[in-house]
Amino acid sequence: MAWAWRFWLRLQTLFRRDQIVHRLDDEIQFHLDQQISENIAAGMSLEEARYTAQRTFGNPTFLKEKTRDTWGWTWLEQIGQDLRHGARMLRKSPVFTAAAVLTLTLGIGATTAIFSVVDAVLLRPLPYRDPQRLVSFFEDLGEVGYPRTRVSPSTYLDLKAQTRVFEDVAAVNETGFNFSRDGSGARQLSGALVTYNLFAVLGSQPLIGTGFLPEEDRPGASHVVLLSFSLWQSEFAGSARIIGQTIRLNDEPYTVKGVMRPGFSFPDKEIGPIQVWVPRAFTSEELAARTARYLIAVGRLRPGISLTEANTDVRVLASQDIRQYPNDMLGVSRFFAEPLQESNTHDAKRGLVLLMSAVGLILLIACANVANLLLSRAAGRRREIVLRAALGASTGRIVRQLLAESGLLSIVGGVFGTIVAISSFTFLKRLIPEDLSHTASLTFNLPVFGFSVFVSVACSLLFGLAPARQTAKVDLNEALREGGRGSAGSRQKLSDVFVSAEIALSLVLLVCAGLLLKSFWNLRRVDPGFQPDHVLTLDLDLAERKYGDWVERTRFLERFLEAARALPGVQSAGLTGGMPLTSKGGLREEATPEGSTAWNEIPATVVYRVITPGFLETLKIPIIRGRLFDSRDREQQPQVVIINQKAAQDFWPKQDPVGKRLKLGRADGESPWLQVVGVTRDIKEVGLNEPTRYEVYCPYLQSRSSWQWPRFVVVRTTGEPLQAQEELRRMGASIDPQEPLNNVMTMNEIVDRETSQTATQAALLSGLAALALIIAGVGIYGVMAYLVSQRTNEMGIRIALGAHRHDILRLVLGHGTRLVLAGVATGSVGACMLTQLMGTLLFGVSPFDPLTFAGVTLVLTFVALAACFIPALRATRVDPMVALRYE
Amino acid sequence: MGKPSDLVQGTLDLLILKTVSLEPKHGWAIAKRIQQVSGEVLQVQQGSLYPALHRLEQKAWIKAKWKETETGRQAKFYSLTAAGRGQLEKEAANWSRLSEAINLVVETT
Repeated sequence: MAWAWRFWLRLQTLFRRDQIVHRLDDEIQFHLDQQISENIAAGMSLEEARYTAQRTFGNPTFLKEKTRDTWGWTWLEQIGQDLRHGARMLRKSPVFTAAAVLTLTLGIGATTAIFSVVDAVLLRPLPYRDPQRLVSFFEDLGEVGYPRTRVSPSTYLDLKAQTRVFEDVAAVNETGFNFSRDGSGARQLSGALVTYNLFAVLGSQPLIGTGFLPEEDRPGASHVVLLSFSLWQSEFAGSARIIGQTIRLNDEPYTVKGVMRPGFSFPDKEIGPIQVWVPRAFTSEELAARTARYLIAVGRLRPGISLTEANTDVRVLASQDIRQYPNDMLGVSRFFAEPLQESNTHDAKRGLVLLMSAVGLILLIACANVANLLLSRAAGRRREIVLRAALGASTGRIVRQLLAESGLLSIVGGVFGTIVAISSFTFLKRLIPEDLSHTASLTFNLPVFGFSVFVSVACSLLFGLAPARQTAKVDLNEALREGGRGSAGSRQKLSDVFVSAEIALSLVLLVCAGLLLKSFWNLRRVDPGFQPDHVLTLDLDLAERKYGDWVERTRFLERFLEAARALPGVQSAGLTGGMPLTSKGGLREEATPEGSTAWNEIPATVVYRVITPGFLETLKIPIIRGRLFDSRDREQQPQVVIINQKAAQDFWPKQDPVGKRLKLGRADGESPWLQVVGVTRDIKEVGLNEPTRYEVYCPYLQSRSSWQWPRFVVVRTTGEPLQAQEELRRMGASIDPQEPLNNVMTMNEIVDRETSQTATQAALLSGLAALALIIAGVGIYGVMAYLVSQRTNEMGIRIALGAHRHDILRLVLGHGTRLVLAGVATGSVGACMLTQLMGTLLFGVSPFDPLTFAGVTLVLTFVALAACFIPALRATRVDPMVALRYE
Repeated sequence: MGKPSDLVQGTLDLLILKTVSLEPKHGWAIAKRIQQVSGEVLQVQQGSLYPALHRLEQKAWIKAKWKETETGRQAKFYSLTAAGRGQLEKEAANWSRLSEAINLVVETT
């Protein structure tokens, strides 16, 4: 009860303060009047009575203040006063305020914007049940250049058997389905073949309908399918009656079992969200092929089992498999599990961490700059501060007062910065890797809001505290003696430190940007080994039921090629089993060259590709020895291959490779010997930044047994490649209207994709570095200009005493140079530490690239000295008479 | 003698609580009453009563009400609350313990 009453009183003193103050006046007036009338009754005159009453009462103003203190909330009242006063002071110097707010807006805006990307990609938990217990699995083929390879079906089953550490393991791989309705044209849906338990492992149940049953992923089970929410909406108008109906995929009927929730898309795919999920059955052949590593495996850890524990078991499993199947497991050093969140963000992490550090540096530079602005401003406010101190304001109160001003600045900067950040979302979307863009979206959410508030508060302390303490430190005695004009000794030292820090931070940023730009330049200069211009590419995902048969498929492919070549504007066309630069894993096979002792023990890992005549010609991959494939190379003819230069040189050094033989698999394997008929130039196969690999091309007509068939079409056109698109589609539909052309894009687009992330990163970082350079330049200018204005009379005396103009120039520039040198030295050390972390983001350039460091230092020094030069010049123009008149 | 700072720390609270315990009084009357009852020995500086009164009010030991005096003016009358009565007893007990103890020390030869 008492506490409630007390609380009520407290609220009264907060919200009815004016009234209560008024009542206190009444109360005290009543007291005085009582005393006065008593005094008069005792025989005093009115004047005397009043005077005596006041004396016995004491100082009413002081006592009222003491009384108000007992009401509490004094601190709040003071903050209110400080803020109001701060706002008044800021309004009085609009240029300063605008400069500070603009700097802070840029700093806070950039930081918040990049943080929102970090939040979306790295921090937000995956949208599954207990996502921290989800792991994904890889086979480590690091020895042959593939440390994060997907797993084979047999490995998947082995992992699933590790029930001590995993609740369950599911596997999935992406595929396309040709989908047609009511006889209308077919179109491609992106789909996933999944084990029945995928949804249970992820903890995502269908929105309507049911998930798959255990018996539904057995061979020969009836066809069932789950739809994505968006497909259900667009194709079936969101009708619940779809459950139990059949749809046609690849010209076969599938019964719809359910619809997944909006936004669910597993696995994330670059080309778009998954639209249909179909249970997959492993045939015994698939299970036997331990080298076919194409499954994404996700597992759920048992509660209480750590990742390390799980990995111990997984490693034991791997070493058993390696011992038992040494041939299949060649090159595999281990299996490993890692958190699903990490696998998803693997590539993005480094770039984002770099960008986050970069904007952090920008923020620090901005803070240093605002701190310097505050320091210079403090000089002009010295009188005001001295007066306040003389009137009894404590140092603490003055510091609080100044902090209120910087707090106001950062609040305004924070609000504007957040607006800037939100409006940059459209541009920033490009920073999210494509395969994450369906689940990770940029939103202004609570973490992002909290972050921007935190940054703003931290900023106001960062840039406000040191200047405020410096300013509030007044020695009244000295200040009054100097007539309020004051020397700027220690204040100058502090702003020197800020300037050097700004230069150092800018140098770090410039170096990072320089290295990335150089990497981008290097990447662009990489010769892919083929000519990507005027080439159109597309996929044919022929329905298994209709074209599963080799003869049928071959007939279709040959008709397609012939018709394509006959189109006007088409120069050449060819087919390949693997498009260069599209499959990061590459298409691997083992090969043993004949008569080369080096490869007898361990076969070489080669990139193996089934092609038709026309492929090499279309991409203009030159033959440097021997011949191309032609119509001779078909069944019943001698089996032939074409290899690349690197393979030729390493397999048969200093010999003519044409006429030599190699076989796929090991020397004692059953596959036939293949004769080398040609050698091509090396091409960049799995990525522009990847080393060249051994390449083996086989003619399609001799590769009936291969699991690979050439489903990718390349067409060289005379004009703009995309213009040939419509004609090709019409032509394709005339052969079989049920088979759409998918993923139509130009080869140039494929090559550009290789450099796009580096390009975005380099562009962004260069922008940030330029920003840093500008902010730092302005900062240096401001400080030097202030320095000169402070030392005007000193300069005047020097000139009057006979100093030459160039002496003055040297004096000022010397000061500036010292700051620049200190900044550059510190910055170089900092840059060395940071660039090491860039690692794989760089291409063809060392993190300590001397050229970049030297160039950046040069640019920075030039800008900094130019910023010093203008104030220095002004210093030489000081008129001694004017300067001395100030004394 | 008799400046408020000369009062033993905390005794002003005790004096106020005791004074308002009999009947509601306004500030001036409280000051007067303390002077009279103490035989003019305790001269409370009148103004310093008010911070103390407001502090006790915030602690809910006394409560205040604006009422008319005999002369027809509005004045703020303070009276003891239940919590205040408890506090008064406690402080009074403390005080007697303290003064007994001091007496003992001073009178022992």
